[in-house]
Amino acid sequence: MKARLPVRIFCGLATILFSLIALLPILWMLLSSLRPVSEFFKMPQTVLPDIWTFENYVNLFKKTNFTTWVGNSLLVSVGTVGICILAATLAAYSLSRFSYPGRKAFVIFSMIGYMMPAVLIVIPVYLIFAQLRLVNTLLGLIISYIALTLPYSIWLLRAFFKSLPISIEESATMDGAGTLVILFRIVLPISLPGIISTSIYAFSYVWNEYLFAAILLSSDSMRTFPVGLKSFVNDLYIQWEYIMAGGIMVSIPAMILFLVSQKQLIQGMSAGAVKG
Amino acid sequence: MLLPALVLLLFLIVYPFVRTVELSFMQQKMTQATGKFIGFKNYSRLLGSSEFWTSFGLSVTWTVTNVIGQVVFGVIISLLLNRTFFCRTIARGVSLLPFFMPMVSMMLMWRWMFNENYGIINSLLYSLGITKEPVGWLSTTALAFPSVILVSTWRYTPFVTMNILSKLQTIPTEHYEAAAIDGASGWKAFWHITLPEIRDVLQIVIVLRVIFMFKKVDEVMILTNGGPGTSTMILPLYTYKNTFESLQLGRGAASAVLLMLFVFILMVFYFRMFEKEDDVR
Repeated sequence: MKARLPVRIFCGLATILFSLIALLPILWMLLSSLRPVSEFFKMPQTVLPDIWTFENYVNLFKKTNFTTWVGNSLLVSVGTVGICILAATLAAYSLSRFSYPGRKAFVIFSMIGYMMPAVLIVIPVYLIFAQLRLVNTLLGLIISYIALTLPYSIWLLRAFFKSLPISIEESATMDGAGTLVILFRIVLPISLPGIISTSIYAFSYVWNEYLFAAILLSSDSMRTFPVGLKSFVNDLYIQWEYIMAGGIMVSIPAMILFLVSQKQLIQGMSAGAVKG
Repeated sequence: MLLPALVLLLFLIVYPFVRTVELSFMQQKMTQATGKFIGFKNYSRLLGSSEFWTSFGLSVTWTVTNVIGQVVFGVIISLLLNRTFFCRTIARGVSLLPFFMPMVSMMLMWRWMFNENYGIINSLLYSLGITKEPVGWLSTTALAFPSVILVSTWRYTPFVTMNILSKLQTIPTEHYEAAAIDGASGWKAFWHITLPEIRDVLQIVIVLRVIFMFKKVDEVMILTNGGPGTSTMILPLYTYKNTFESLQLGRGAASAVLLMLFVFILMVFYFRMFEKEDDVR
């Protein structure tokens, strides 16, 4: 079915307009990162840099702790995702396959955990971690990120397990296989797409997290990149050139993840999954 | 098998929650190890202060305008992207980008674009002759809040787009063809076919967006940190400042509990929707 030509032209233009609104700010970050510092402070700004340079990137790696921050971010992300997915898989499988009292309550409870304001959790976590000497450690950050990502991961995986046919597992039980054997040998291989979606959700949550990292980490070498980038904003001046170059650097993994796994990413983040 | 998750959640969600409630009845500074029990004083003080209600009001405005913006643009964009045209896959990917790029870098980039003296937005307005004086997008009381809302609408519209679009794709085209034969197309087709089909998803998306926008703190923190003055001091940020800048643990905790209370009311709506569809078994 084709609409009339003026309608189609109008819709085409609107699509282009909205795409530009989405894209231009990101493009501007890229163009800004490629100009020398002096060009940041002139009016009016030119769209393309007068001088193209990579010096902001070079300085970012040479003169700042940027690589350490990204390393910390990676470590924290991988650690969190690993533990979170393991615990979530076990819990979700049990919730979707066995029946016991308190099951429904647990599911609702994990949803409440998911919607709990981070600012509420961070206050006591900070106090508890201060007692346990976990403040300013990456371990402390990993533990708190597990709390933030686990509820929704359980929810996602439970929905996924529920959608799998139960008959294969039943026949495996007949053959005498134990629950854990069934889970790891039979269920996990066919649930890989669901596990990937969930991992990507947890990873991008941790990769982006700012509040907990800002409160729990105090020394420069412990920072994850979101707090690190923010630290270029000082009271006296702001190092825009590092922010732009660093912003592009950390957007690249996000971009790659997005291009490679758009489908799983959308699956993991959409309300459809929340519907259970 | 439930045990590891249960232990983690008890230790990391339930216990902190209980601690916050306990703290909210205490008078305690960040520097003190223990506090003094003062009953509901923190609450009565908060509920009697104009700052709290200003923050609450800002939070309501923030949530409502954000969600309306995100839903209106999200639905329009998803309808546009559901049409068949050249480069559709690219346009779909691009339209989702603001949501999938790292939050901090996006917010700092907007701060740079909004910069009063050297930002590209003022630079363009100046070159086009629209303004002569630099506009303080984030630095004037009148403009800061709308600017911040604009940025977060930009960032979260893709969430709505993504959900509505995937629902739109499940509507069989035969419905529209049949409607076209009956002479219904365009607006009528949208009203009688599209809208009923996306209604359920739309409801869930709206409630989710309301909950998430209401408790959101990090974006405003990076863009304006509540300023100038208290013109962008939404409730979660007010809670944060009380706790970690004024170091008033008790008052901060009380304001966190009140925040949770509002979120909880919203959550009840959310679970009501599920009861209808019988999903939580």
